[in-house]
Amino acid sequence: MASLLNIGITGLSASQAALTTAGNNITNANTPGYSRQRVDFATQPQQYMGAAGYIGSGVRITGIERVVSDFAVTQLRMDTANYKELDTYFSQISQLDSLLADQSTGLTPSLQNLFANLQEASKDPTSVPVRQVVLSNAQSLAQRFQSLYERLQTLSQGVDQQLGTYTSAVNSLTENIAKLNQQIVTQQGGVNATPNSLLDQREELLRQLAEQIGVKVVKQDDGMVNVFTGSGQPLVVGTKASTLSAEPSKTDPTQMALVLRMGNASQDITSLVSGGNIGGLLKFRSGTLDVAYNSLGRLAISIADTMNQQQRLGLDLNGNFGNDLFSDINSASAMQNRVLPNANNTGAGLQMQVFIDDSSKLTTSDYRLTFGAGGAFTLTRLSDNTTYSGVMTVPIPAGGQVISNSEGFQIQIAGGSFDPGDSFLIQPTRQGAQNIDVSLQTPEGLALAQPIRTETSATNTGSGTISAGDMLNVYQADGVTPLGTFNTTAPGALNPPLLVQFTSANTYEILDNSDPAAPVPLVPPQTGTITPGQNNVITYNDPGPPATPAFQFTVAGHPAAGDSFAVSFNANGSSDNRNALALAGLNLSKVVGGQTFSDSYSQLVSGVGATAQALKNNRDAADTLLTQSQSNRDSVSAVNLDEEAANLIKFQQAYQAASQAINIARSLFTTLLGSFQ
Amino acid sequence: MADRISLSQIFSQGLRGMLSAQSQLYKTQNQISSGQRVLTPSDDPVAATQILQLGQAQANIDQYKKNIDGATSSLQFEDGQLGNITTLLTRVHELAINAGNGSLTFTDRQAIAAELKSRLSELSELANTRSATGEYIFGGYQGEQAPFVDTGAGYVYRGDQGQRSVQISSSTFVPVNDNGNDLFMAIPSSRLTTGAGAANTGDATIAMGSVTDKAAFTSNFTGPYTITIDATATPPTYQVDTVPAGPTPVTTGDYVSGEAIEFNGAKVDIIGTPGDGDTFTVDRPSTQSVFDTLQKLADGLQNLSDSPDDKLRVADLVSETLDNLDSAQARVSVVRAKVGARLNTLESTGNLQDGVGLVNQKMLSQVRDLDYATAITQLTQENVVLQAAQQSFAKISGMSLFDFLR
Repeated sequence: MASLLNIGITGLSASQAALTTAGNNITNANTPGYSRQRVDFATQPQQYMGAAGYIGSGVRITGIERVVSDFAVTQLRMDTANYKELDTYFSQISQLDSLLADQSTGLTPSLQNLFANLQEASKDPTSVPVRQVVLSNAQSLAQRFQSLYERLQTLSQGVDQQLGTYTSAVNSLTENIAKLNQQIVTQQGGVNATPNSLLDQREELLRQLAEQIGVKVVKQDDGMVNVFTGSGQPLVVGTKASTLSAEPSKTDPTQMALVLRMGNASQDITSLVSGGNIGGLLKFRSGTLDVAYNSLGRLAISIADTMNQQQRLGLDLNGNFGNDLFSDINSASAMQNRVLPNANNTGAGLQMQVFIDDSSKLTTSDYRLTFGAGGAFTLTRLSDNTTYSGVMTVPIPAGGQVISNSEGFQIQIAGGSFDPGDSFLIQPTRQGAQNIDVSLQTPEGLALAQPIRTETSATNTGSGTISAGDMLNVYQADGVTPLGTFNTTAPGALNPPLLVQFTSANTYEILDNSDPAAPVPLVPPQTGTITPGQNNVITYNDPGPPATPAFQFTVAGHPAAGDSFAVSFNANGSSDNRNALALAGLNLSKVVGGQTFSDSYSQLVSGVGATAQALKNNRDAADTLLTQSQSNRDSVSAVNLDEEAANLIKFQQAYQAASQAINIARSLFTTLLGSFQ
Repeated sequence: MADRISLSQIFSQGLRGMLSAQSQLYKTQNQISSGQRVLTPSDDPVAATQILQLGQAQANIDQYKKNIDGATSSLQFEDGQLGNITTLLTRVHELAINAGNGSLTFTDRQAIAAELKSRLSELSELANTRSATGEYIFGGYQGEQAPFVDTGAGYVYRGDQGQRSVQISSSTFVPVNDNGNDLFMAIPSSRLTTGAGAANTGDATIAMGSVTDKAAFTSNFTGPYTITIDATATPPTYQVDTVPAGPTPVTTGDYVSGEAIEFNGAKVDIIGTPGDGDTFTVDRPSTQSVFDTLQKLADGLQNLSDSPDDKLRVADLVSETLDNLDSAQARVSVVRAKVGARLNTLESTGNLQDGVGLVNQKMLSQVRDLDYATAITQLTQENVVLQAAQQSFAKISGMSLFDFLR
């Protein structure tokens, strides 16, 4: 009876514990990260009853266990990091996606307007109002570039700010994980029981950490966990946590880098991080934002450069050579801003700038220039790591040095010194969209005419014809000094006026036609041959020095000996629209890396669109995976209220039954006592 | 699906179902309200690129069509003016034929000369035609100054031979003007270029330089030539030499006023009484402006008397003028034909652009525009899905064992 009483009591306390646990499960049904708990029962040690053998002595509780699957938890953490990365990237790129293609914010409408109105100007080149419209279109195109650049900058700044926020979140999470490691070791070590709620807390913090950054978790035997980034940088080691911070990058001070500090050691882990919000932001910045900056910049530089060059080949309404329509792509500040020295460089006062010499060859990549010993240098195209190597004269000579390449720009070093290991980030196109501006002020300044015209002599007897002529160069290679042919001391005339005189049916000589009554040979003479009946391009070279092709024209048909064609300055040629047609024709010429202006922009739009679409699909897939792994984890660990209700009933009945056992024991005892009365 | 479903699963699954149905509905609704299938490039990057490219192509076509309209009106205007010029030249032709009537008197011819002068100034007005935008259409590149100016010694051309073109397709440019030099100035003369020596003492004039034998002229006429008169002989003789004179004269003969001198396939008349040693030059035909043709005729009719020599001169002048007028009219006709051909090109290219534009619009519509039937069906379907998700969630979440614990 004593044993029945005792057995009843063990039953009572076991059921009580089970009821308490069920109650705890019910109340924590909505606690994030809570794993349902289960009471483990076992029989009490049996007692030897002599010949009868062993008899049971009741129930005991061996432990209160968390129901968890380590596999499901690890899977959930990985899927969380993956989903968060894609989701963040997608939400960032969506802003760019709608910005670029929208009629009101994209580039397409203003680009189309500019060229449409250049065509209008070609129909009516003397009209100042039509010219004004072209100028206004050019201004609105430049403004559109600038406002797109500003929007990109807003996105960049957003990335930098969010990196700051997310790194603080990472820091507080890792610190708490380290603290929990400490507490878990303490609580578990003393009594050899699992501190369930602390483990749940740590699991939840690790999941939250995976939302910010991809992590690997390694369990230690003593119950602690060590946490590393995906590529192995330690975030938590035992009870110590590293600090992560967003700081201006050493290579590119305009951007934030991720720096990990543990003790006195620090490391830039920007390129090593993946997963989570932080991974998503970094991928957006390097994979999409930087490309968008450079694509837009390259397009702006191409438009400004090609239109300026065409302007400079033409004559404006006042008969003067055209000036730049857009501001100079190689202004002093633009050239200097294309170079970003590494903050760790030790060389002193290096004056370096980047000069764009052929806008059609520019790529959308950034470059890194690294110096080695003895003036050796390596220029690396960062998009595909193509390198150019060479050796420079050290120290830098008085006239400076130029590093040329076939990428459309050259690096000019004026002076100063560098040390081996110094490196520079070269961004030829990054700020192009910001720098584009209209420098032409007056509509009369649009150069819609060409500086030369040709005339067929009235006395020609052959059937030869001459084209109106195409300009090749107005200025010497420096772009500032006019060729002698267009000497500014005699404006409004060629120096000298020319006469193409055929000496036979297929040979000609270009003569100085200063005195039309007696043309004289040029010094040096320029003669040549043609194939009668075909189109023959005749080029006139300015004598220089250096000799420079100035313009060319086409002679067709069959000129007769003695026939002549005069080439003169297009004075008063205000109705000439040849340069307007050339300017409008730039719309269809493939001058941006082998593409037209609009195709180059379409490529940017569709590139961003395709990435966004792929991201959306991948994010949706990752979302499904995350839901599945969350479901797997919940299926094992989360609370089911019906189950707990059933448990309550079950343990309530067990409790009542155990009470009944005690009652029986009591009545047995009473019966026994009664028999003695 | 695992056998065990937890509370959080029931709620999160239900919520997810409703949220995704809602976002799908929202997108379909957006498509319907905008009428566009592709809202952002990420919806369909390939279509987005096509939309941009087709839009660009359409913008170009629209511009080319505007250019075609502009070029058409310019050329029609020019054609109209050329028509007026043709009419004027026809009238001058009639006047010249009238003037050649041998029965006319000096006074009659002076009356014709008066009308010719007014026609001449009318012609100069037409040649200095300005377009609606104020440009002189026959001035080449120099459209802001009058191309034809009367210097007192005849009209000169101040323009150039420039020709303006307008782009009407990606590769086609159509000229929209013609220069006055080709139209009015550089008209090949039907006659040889002749002249009298400055130191001539007689009253003889040279006229009627023409080509009689084309083959002989082409192979033998090297030009220029000098004709020298020896009036000491009886009758007077002439001698034709090359310039400079060769060892032997080209030809020699007796001089008779008004009788042709022929050599190397060419023929000239000298009329009147030349002085001894008088010289005349003969050269290849050059060009003469239509203004000069009219001016010369008017001057001749104004000044030549009724004397027999002058009558011969009038006849010669009229004959030369008629030939030159023919050349001038032919030149105008050639230019009008060119203008007509350009107008044809403009029309056919315009039709082509219309066709391409139509195809473009159709493609753009296919790529960009929403199929409303599909979209509205989809909207209805998604609506049903959302309602089903909501109703089933309300049902499932309402069931609990606790409801029965009483």
